[in-house]
Amino acid sequence: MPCKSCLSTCTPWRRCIMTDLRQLREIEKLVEDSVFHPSPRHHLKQRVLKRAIEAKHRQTLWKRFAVTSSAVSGTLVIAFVGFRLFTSGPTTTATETGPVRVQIYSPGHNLQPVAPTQTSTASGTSLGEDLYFHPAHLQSVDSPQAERPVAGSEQSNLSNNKDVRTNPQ
Amino acid sequence: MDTGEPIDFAEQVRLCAQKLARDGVGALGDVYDVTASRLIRYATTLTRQRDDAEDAVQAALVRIALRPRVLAEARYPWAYLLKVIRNEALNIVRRRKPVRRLKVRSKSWCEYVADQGEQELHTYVRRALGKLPPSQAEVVVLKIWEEMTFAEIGEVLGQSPNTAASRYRYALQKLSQHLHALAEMYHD
Repeated sequence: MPCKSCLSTCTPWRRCIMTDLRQLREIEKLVEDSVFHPSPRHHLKQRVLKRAIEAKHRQTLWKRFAVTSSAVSGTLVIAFVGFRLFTSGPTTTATETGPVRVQIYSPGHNLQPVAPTQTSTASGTSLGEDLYFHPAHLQSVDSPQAERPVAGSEQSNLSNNKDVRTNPQ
Repeated sequence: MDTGEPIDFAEQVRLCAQKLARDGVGALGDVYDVTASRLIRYATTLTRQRDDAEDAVQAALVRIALRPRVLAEARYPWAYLLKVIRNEALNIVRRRKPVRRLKVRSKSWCEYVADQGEQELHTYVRRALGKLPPSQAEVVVLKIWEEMTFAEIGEVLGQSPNTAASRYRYALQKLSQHLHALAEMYHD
């Protein structure tokens, strides 16, 4: 059987492999013997050390710059947030109370809050009519629920007075 | 504590790396003194040029100086250092201009060694080693001259130990052919 590595038909493969291995060991030995130690150039060490020190210095500067810039930016962010919180304090309380309610008072207003739902349900009118609510007009209308608080208060005053007057003691 | 026994080279590199991590850039000189010759030899195998090899060594040592803890905490500091050198050397080779690459073919790194006036046979061997592809030549250098195991070589190359072993075998076969051819050429 011919050997595949050397393609020779005359050498049996077993002997060829042994020869090959012996050759490889010889080659290994040859390479081992021919080892060389190149001496570095004289200025290379100085150059390497100089570059290393420069690179280390640059790295230190970059680290300091990064720390300083992050500290400054952090302080700025905290100051900005604090300023915003401090200045926008009253505004936020006003908005929390909701929209401002404005009441228009006429000269004959009795300064008592009127519950619109109560009035509308009592009179059976729609909610839109409450927009035109006028106390003076209401007094003329015969609405017992609208007049009740005013009449009640007058009556109570009168009754109190009556009690005081009628009471002989 | 000095016991008087010769320290293994890899152990020597580990000690230097620990000193570098402890003392800072000032200890880089020790790392250089211990490893420079071998690093240049390995880098020359890849770059095929002495100047590029020195540039690779410089770049690698600067990189190590910036992060010395990585080297000190590596499992095989010597293998890690060789890996850094390899990356830098391959970067340099990649950045080379094509015109310059042609020049590299004509001026082999072995010719530099041949000028030293050493024995003729050793010159042949180095010349033959220079004719191998860099991927095979580096395995031979790491295995025979750096006396590394295939596992360590695999770690340096980022390949499996079996791949390293097969490359080594192919390299020796090619080396044998080159040596025969060179011997015939020089004896004729």
